[in-house]
Amino acid sequence: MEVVPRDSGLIWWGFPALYSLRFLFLVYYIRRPSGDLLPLLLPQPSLFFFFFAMSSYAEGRGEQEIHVLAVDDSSVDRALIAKILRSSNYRVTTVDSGKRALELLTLEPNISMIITDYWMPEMTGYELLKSVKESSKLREIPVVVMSSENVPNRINRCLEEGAEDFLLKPVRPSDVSRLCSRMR
Amino acid sequence: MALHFSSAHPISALHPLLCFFLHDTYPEMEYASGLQRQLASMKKNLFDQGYLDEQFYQLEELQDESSPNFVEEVVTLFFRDSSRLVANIDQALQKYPQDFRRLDNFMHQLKGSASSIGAAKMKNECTSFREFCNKENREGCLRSFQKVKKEHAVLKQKLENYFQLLKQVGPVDKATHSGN
Repeated sequence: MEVVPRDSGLIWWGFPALYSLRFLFLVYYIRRPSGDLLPLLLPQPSLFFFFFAMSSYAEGRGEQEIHVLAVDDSSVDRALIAKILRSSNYRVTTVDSGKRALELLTLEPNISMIITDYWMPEMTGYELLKSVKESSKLREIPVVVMSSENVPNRINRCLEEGAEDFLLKPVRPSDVSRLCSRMR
Repeated sequence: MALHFSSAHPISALHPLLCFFLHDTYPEMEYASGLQRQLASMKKNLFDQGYLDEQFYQLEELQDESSPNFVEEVVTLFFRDSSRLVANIDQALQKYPQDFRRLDNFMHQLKGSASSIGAAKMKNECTSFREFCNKENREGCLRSFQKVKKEHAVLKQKLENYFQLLKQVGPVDKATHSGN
């Protein structure tokens, strides 16, 4: 550490590698008429940058976006569920079949929840649920099943297979808001 | 306003003020409120006559600044899908032997979408059709389907008129719509 006095000006002071952060402290002196140097305490620009960087880091870690995958063969229902979810500030991806849902799940690692229609051609919501719960990679993702028909057997089967919840269509914002605590 | 002034007359500048003090209203506002009344009564009819139900209010509740035309967009999507489904069902009904399961699948989709936008009458006609389908009653299906097509056409026309009037009136305050 070397201090270099200057006439009523700045003195530069650097701390070497303190936890690999360097702060450049600017030290201000004024020279009094008597000739001695009087130190002044002034705000440090380097510390502003430090706190800014720390808060950005904390913010990035705290707010991880919740990404929901909605599966429905009906374009009307896709639009509806996407709007309800987006109104709650969730990121939403919609697909029109179970097959596309599984394709997307292999590519997209951070899905917090899958909401799927029950009745779909080719692959039903129940079959999608089964595929997800049987996959070691995907089984932790909560799956919610929607249906326009209130069939108790169907509901029980889905819940037994591991569905998080079963919603009756048409789905409302109040139905979705009670799911937020179950998101991964 | 019964007063007529040439636009060059200086007092014509006071016309809006006069209207305000004498009638407690601005002429443009009166015209707008007439359209709003028309819109409100059109909407009330749609609900009273059973064309629309509660779900339509849910759609309106979802409309906001980020998607200011949400209701119209969803209704457009519905009619795009429903027109296709109606055509498919029409075609399927022509075939012998009748594939009732396929018919039921189509009608299930149509009923689902109708229910999602709050199209009550259509939903009910779809339910009747499915009942005939389950009993494999071809005559019943044909008759019921005519009703489905009729409701579909009527709803389409009514909603087109509604959205056209809505555009003229401009954004409607959520607090003023009936039913709340």
